Amino acid sequence: MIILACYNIKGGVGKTTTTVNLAHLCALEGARVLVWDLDPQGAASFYFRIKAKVKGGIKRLLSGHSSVRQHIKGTDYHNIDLIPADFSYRHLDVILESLKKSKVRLKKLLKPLADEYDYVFLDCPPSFSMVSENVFYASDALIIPTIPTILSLRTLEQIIRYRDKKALKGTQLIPFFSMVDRRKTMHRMIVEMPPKLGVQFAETDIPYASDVERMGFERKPLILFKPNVRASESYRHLWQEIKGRVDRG
Amino acid sequence: MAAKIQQYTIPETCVDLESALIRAFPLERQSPQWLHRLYKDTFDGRLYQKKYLFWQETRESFYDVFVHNFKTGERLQSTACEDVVWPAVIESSVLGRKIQAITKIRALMPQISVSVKQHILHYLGGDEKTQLRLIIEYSQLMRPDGSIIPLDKRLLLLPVRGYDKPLKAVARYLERVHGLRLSQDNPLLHAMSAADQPLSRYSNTFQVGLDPEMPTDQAFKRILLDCLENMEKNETGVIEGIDSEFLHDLRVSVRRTRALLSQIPEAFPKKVLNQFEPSFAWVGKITGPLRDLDVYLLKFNDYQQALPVTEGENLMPLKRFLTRQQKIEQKKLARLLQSGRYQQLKSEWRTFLEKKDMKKPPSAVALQTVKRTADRYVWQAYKKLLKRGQVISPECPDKKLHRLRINAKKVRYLLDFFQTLYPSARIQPLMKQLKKLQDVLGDFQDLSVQAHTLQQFESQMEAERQLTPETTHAIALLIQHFDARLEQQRGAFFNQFEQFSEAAHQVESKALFHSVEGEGAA
Ligand SMILES: Nc1ncnc2c1ncn2[C@@H]1O[C@H](COP(=O)(O)OP(=O)(O)OP(=O)(O)O)[C@@H](O)[C@H]1O
Ligand SMILES: [Mg+2]
Repeated sequence: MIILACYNIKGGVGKTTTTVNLAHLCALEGARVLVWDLDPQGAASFYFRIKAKVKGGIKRLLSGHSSVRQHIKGTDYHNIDLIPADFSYRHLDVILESLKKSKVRLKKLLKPLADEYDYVFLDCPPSFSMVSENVFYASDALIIPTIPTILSLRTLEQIIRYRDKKALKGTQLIPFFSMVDRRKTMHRMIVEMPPKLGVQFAETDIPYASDVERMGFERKPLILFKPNVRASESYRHLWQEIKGRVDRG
Repeated sequence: MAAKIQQYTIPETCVDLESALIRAFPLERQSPQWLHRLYKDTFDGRLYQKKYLFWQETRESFYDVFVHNFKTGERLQSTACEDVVWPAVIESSVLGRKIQAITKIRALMPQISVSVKQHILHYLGGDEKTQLRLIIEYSQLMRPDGSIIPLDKRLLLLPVRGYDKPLKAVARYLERVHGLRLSQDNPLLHAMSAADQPLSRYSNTFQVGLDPEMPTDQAFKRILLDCLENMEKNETGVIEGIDSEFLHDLRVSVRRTRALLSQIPEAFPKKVLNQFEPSFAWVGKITGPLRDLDVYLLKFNDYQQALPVTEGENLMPLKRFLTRQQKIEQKKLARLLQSGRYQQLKSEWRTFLEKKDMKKPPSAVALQTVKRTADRYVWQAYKKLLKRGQVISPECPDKKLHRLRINAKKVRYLLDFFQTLYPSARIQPLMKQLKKLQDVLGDFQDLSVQAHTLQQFESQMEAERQLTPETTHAIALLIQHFDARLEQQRGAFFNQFEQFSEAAHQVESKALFHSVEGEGAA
């Protein structure tokens, strides 16, 4: 079971969009996929038309008294299941702090599912917190959507600096450029000559496209309603690339 | 994760179930879909034996691929861009890996083809989320001759994880209102029986049961007829080049035939021996080159893995060479198997085997009971094997081990033929040890032959100017690797032979075969 987290400290960079599309592409190949919507806003749950509600709230889920299994919901797609968000996730940090072994809770919760799923995608809230630390410990790779602007690159640097800490040991960092608008000089410059930050950017970037925005209206993965547009093609490439990098360990 | 499907057979009396369901539940109808469903399995039905059904459904430019465990109801789905003959094409999926682990080196072959019209209904909850899928299937069996047979109408319930209520409600409704019961039957079996087509029960293990009191002549003909039939079952697969096991099994049947002729010649008329021993030797010979190439290609990954990564890569020209040669030899053999000579050999052989009366019995052996014959000859061959094995020394030439391998094989075939004449509890341990011994000897033989054949391939490649220095180097490394393994294998032999002799003692083989030593057998 490979655990991939779509993560960035910044909000609105395309984390959820990426999670939904990559999870879908992954499942199309026949892999068994679980998406965990960790964001109290419940955007990933929304895309999959599943109520952002966890029975008994996050406290019950984390306590370990009940298996995460009973919170899993099937989506409209073969091979993709989801653990929905819940509004109570906004207290996740505080609850985690109060628990023993608070940093590896998530990892532990996922462990029993190893035989059931081939890939887990974590859709993370934009923050740098106890939640993200749990995500770091649990994940095999962080997929980091990065808008090609100077400010976004600085945020990326912050994450990279954190890499030497224990939580990210053995976790690959896979940043890619997201919402790329080639009409903008700055975007073009950065994408064509990414700064040397000691991480390898994915070769594929995702263009800024109104079709992608429409996903919120269609509530479907992009390739299901716009299979042939460039952004769909980009997501396909991105998935192949990420899969390849993760497989190589 | 995998959905546990529930299925119902819809009886003729239950008209317009679909409309009734739509009135009763919040169902959304998807436009009907037509698809072509092709069930597949290996020639020897490996998937079915493990309780799996495998099928592919043709969509526009790709295939939906399914495995369904008909014991547990578990179902997995994936997609493929091409017709799935080798699960390796969907190896990135769990489904592909699951299948591959069962089918191994055998190809998937079409079993039965069904044309299906599906009415798909989505049970929608809030936010138009699908909480249950219902599929009504109208299927027709498409027979190879173009005729069509309608099959049962079916309703499938595909549950969505975490949404139990709709499933329960619909199941209850089907039972209470329409009197439908969950059906346990298996759609493949249903289709096969409608097609009057039996499931493949092919197996290459020898399974002819013998009556101890049967005259030897009759028993032998029965054994040999089974070998002949097995050969014939595998011919098409060899001619069409489906997978390497067809040829393997065909050759086993030929060797079994030859073993019986050569080990117990007294049971056959001289004329028959003179005609058929060389004929079957010929079949052995013409099938050899293709088998060798098959073996290399099957082991190619192991070879690559035995070398460092870059050296392994340098072997690729060899693989391309072998693949080309394999195609050439396959075509050659396909022609030979369709030749008059081969066909005539088989028909004359069959005529002999099917002849009931024996005007002039060749010897007393032909008339005595098969049990008596088996006792004597198995014991004889067995003793010979023990004796030959005992004189093998660590320094003896490879050739001696090869000869021993052939001895072992012959004993093995005799034991296969006659096993039903002996108490299984006593014969099985013996066969088990013999098989292990054969494995060790077989590996030894493979290694020593492979080094030699590799050199031949190398000079052939050289002559065809396909050899780079890198490939030469990689091949040299491989040969070195074989040499090292060969020495280990010699050690393994002594170990295994000891266990074999011990087993021979323990089961008191002598008593088992009612030693008839004194009777002057050759
Ligand atoms: N490639 C793109 N082109 C155009 N719009 C995009 C693209 N990717 C994402 N968007 C839009 O940008 C918005 C933010 O995207 P998304 O929700 O995926 O980001 P996020 O990082 O998950 O946000 P948050 O931090 O709030 O969770 C959404 O409205 C989405 O439709
Ligand atoms: Mg989000």
